[in-house]
Amino acid sequence: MARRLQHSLGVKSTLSYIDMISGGFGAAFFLFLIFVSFPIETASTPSSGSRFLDIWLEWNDTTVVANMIVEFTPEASETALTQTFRYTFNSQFLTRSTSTGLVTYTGSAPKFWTSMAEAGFGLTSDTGLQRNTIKGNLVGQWMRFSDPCPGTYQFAVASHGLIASRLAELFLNPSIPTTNGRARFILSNGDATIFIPEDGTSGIEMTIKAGLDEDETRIPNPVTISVGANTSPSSLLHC
Amino acid sequence: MDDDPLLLSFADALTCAFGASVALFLIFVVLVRFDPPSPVPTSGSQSSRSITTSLANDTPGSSSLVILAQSELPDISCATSSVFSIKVEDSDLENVRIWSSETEIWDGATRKGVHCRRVFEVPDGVTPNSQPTLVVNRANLELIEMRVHLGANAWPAWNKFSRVQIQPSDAISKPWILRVTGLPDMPVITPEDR
Repeated sequence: MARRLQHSLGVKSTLSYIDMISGGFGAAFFLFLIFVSFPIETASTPSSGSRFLDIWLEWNDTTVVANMIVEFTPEASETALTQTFRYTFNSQFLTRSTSTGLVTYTGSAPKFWTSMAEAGFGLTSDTGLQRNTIKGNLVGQWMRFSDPCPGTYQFAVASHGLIASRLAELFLNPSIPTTNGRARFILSNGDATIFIPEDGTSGIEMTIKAGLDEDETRIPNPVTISVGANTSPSSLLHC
Repeated sequence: MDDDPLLLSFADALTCAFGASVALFLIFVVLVRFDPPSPVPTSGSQSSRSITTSLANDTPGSSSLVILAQSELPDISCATSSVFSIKVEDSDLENVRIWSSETEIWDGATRKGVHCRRVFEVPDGVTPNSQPTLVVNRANLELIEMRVHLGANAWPAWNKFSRVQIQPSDAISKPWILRVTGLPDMPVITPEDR
């Protein structure tokens, strides 16, 4: 102590080893608090809820064969793609692995999704999904796309006519057979889930033409999927 | 004074303090976060863990839940299939839509059997008070494949099924074959998990 006092008196700016340790740790802790409290990294948002697009299509006549068509116009500010792409979801462009259940789209247009699930798309011997209701049997299809790219989606229903047992009617009957159908959509951009129509139970009504030509019935309400505040950037990498 | 090697100058102390602060900063701020919480796998992820993520982040009840169940039988139709006897319990049954499909399986010109599929649409999804459960009411010797879609997440994966072997004796011992719990550690359970 005497030695320390002596040194302190001799040169005022000289500190002892103990002074350095205590002062150093004090200053270090002070600086540490400053560094820690700096907003150095942006808050890691817990990212999003999941982003998906759900399509439910149903129609009344179980002998009509139909499938969904999607026209996708990318949002220019989110992707380099500028043109509109068309996807036909029928057995010509879809394959389904019976062992894994994985459905694969084989068309040339770039996929606006990362994973896809379906039920009821029209294979030759597939009667599609059927559901018993008080109004009779309905036939339907379901498709779910994960991570749909931002943009506008226009939907249409195409029909290749009737099942084989009724095909002859198309040649004998000059009028094009029709059936009533409806479509429902569920979409989520990670912020909120939107049901179209809003009640989530009914559907957008339409009349599906089932002639020999590949008739299309456009659904008037296009759907826009935007980038939300909680949209995870990694879920847009394929767009 | 100058001959004491333990004495340091004020500048030495400041340098050392600054070095220590940088070291502590690196230890506590950088290294601790070196393995950051992985960005939420969010959409399109294929693990069962991500379905929990979806449950945690999606608006409860708004994640449309779809459950697929299917099997293959050597029969002519799906009339005897356990898949066609499955019901969804512990949920708002009024809103559950049940779809079915029956597809013939052909191997060349030989008819091998029938593919039976049932699709359960549960628009209300999973809530703390609702754990949709698949209950089989007809127990034949049958391998049932199941998959759960919740939002953009799938369990066990988009290209996998969870398989449950049904025995005739299971009609009593194993009436339920899948339950969507939404619990963080095990969002979907099968009887084997009990």
